[in-house]
Formats: sequence, structure tokens, C-alpha cells
Amino acid sequence: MYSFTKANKKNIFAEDTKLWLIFIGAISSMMIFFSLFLVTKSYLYKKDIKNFKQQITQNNKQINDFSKKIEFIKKEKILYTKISVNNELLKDGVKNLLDLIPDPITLTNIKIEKNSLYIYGITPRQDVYNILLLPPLKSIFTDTKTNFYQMDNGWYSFESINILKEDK
Amino acid sequence: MFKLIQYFIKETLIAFYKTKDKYIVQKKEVKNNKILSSENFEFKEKEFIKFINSCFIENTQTYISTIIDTFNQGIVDSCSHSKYKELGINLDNIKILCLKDYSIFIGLYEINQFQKKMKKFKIDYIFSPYLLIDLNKKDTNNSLYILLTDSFIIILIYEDAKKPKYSNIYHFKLEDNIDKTTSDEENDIDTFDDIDNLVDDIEEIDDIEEIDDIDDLNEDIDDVDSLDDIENMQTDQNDDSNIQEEISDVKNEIESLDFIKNSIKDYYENYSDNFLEYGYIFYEDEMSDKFITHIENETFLEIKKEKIDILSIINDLALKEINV
Repeated sequence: MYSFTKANKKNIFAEDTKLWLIFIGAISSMMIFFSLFLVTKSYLYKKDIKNFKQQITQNNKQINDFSKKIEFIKKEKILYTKISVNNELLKDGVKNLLDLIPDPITLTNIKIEKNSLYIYGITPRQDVYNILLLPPLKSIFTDTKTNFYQMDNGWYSFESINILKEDK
Repeated sequence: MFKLIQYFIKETLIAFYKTKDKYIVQKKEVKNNKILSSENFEFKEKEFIKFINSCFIENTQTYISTIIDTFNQGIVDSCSHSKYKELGINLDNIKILCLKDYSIFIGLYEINQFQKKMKKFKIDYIFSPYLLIDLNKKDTNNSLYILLTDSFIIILIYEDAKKPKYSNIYHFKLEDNIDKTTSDEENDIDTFDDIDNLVDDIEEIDDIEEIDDIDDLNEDIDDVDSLDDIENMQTDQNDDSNIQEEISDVKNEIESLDFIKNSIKDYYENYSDNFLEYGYIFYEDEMSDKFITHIENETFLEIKKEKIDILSIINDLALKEINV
């Protein structure tokens, strides 16, 4: 220290330079703030896009699953319709079959399969069966076989195997 | 932090001192302790204020430094307060600047008055003129140092080469040379001498009581017939001022010799019994060999003269202060 006095306080920048610097600083900070805002927004948008893409993939997968389910249900529906039709047909067939059974013949058991019909019953005589029941069965089925077993009372129990061969 | 910033910014150092009617100024531009430019100027007060203001507009890091040449300052060969008390110096009224081996003191009143007088310039650093000698001292014991300027003369005597033992300052009587056109004369009243001068001036004004004087002046103006006459008058005036300057120089030399003689006498009587062996005189403008011979005859010493640049030293001191 050589001086009797201390130096007056010095500003690094002049007053107008200070104003300019404040102005530039304010503008710069606003720009930085705005760019940060944009960066954050774009980051969030990218994140959203990623989420949406994942969601779309999931939705597509679900759509596929649903499509498969729909197809399955459609198939089930077709099958149901088919079964229902078949049942209706079978019902009609059974009704018709039972209508075919003449009074003297008594049925003990009927077994219906897809292409075959097994009829078990009792007939007073073989010709009653052959005249009254066999002709309608033959007209329906392609192949008809009948086995008779004589019972103690002289009546016959019969077993009729009727097969319907589908045309190839 | 400021040191780091300081590395990149340019500082403008302005050193000045006032002579009777002008300011002698040196402007240095410094960056990172390297001098970029250096210019010297001489200004009247108004120009000087304008110059200072323009420097501040140009660079806020402008430091203004000067030296204070008031009487009420001196050196003590110790920093110890007890030494001051021993010498009968009241510590309450002075500011002490402790240097390595000695201290410089100055009256607080003097500093305040000086700052008030120079308030237009916002002075940063005020140095003692004793430093101008101390920074140029030699490694010799029992040495007399004289610094001579246009307005004052100072003496430092070193018994030990490291620290001065005796100091004295003398202002040349300027009453004959006061620039009567200076408008700020009233502001310069800071000593009783100035008041005396003013009283003298007023008496002089009172002397112009005869209107005859004014008539004479009118006659003189009437006599001026041509431009040649005006030129002749101007050259006459220049001659007059040259003669006045020469008279003033001789007067200063006589006063200086008296002051040096009295100071040495005071030193031998009150400070040391050792004889002075070496003499140095520092000056800034010109130094006649005749004057040196006169001093040698008065002091019985071989006086070596050395030219110094006072403003450069002031600026160097300011730079040191900035870097503290």
C-alpha cells in the first residue's frame, strides 16, 4: 500500500453497456427458457408417441385376437345352425320314423347314429315287419339288414340295422 | 474473481500534478500489467475535467492518481505508534502509511482538504512525493536526496540505506506568479498564505483608484494603429514573460539553496551526528550545472543529478495499488 486513499469503486461496464447486457441477458434467458420448454414438450410428445405406438400394437394384437374369436364364434354359429338343422331334421326324421312304425310292431329301443339307424322291437310276425316297416326303411336307407329272434310267446324280436351311405 | 476479470480488461491510468496554472498529465493504458500506450498532456483546468470525463466514458476502469505536496506530512523511521508518541505526533489527526522499514504520515485535515479541492476529478490514489525519492534511492548510507519540481522541493536523508531518517518539504513562493485569470481562485483558499495573497490582491485593486489609469489605457489602445503594433506588443509581452520566468527560476534556486542548507543544518542538529557522504538530486525538466555547483558548495557533497519521470512513477505506483 502506497496510497493515502483507496480507489473509488469501478464498474466493469458503463451504464449503457449494463443496460444492453441486462436486455441481452433477459432475451437470452427467455430464449433458453423457451427452448427448454420446447425440448421438454418434444420429449413428452416423443414419449406419448412411443406409448401410442405400444398401445396401437396392443390394440392390433387385440383386434387379431378378437378377429380370431369372431371367426371362431362364426364357425360355432355355423356349427350350431348345422346342428340345429340336423336336430330339426332328426326330429322330423324320428317323427316320421315313429309315424312309420305300424301298430302291431312295438319298438323297444332306437339308436340313431350319424349315418345309421338301429331299431330294436317286437313284431307278431316276420311278414308284418317285412310288409309294414321294411319298405319305408329301404326307401330311406341304402342298406338295411334285419335279424329276427323268436320269442317264447311266438312273437319275434327284431334288430334292424339301417345304413345311409352318402354319395361320394 | 475480480483478478480473473482484471486479466482481460484494459485499465487507463491517469497521473497528474498541478503546476501554477496548468495540469501536467500522463495517460497510460495497461492490460494485464503490460503498457499498451502512454501519452503526456498539459491542460488548463476546464480542459482537464473534460479530458478526465472523456477517459471515464471511454473506459470505466480509469484510475486517477496524483501526489499531495502539503507541508503537514513526513516520514518516521518506524511503523510503531510509540515512536510517533515519542516524537510528539498526535495519532488522532494523522493517517499513517506503513512501508517496509519506515512510515509516511500525513494530516487527515490536509487529505480531506485536498480531496475537497480535487472533488471534480474523483481521485483514486493520492501518493506522498517522498515515495518518488524512495523508489529511486541508491544503496548508499548517509545520503542526501533532493527532488526538485516547479512548485516544491523535498529532501530525504538516509542514514541507513534502507530507511529515511529525515524529511522536509518546501513550496516555492508563488504570489508573484498567481494566474489572476483563474476563475476557481476562491476555491483554492486552503492555507493562511492564500488568504494573505488574496488580501494583497484586494489591496492592489484598491490602488486603481485613479480614473487616470483607465484613461492611460484608452490612450494606449488609441495608439495601436496597425496589426504590426499588436504583434510588437505581443513579442514585448513574451519577452516580459520570459524575463519573469528567469527571475522566478533564480528566485526558486535561491530559496532551494536556503531550504537545503537549513534542512541539512536541522538534520545535523536534531537527527544524526554522522556526516552525509552522498548527494543525489532528482529533477524532471531541466537542471543547470551551475545550480548543482551551488548546491555542492553549500553542502560540501558531490551531487549526482538524475532525471526522473514523476508521472510515470505515479502511474507505476497506481498500478501496484491496483494489483494489491
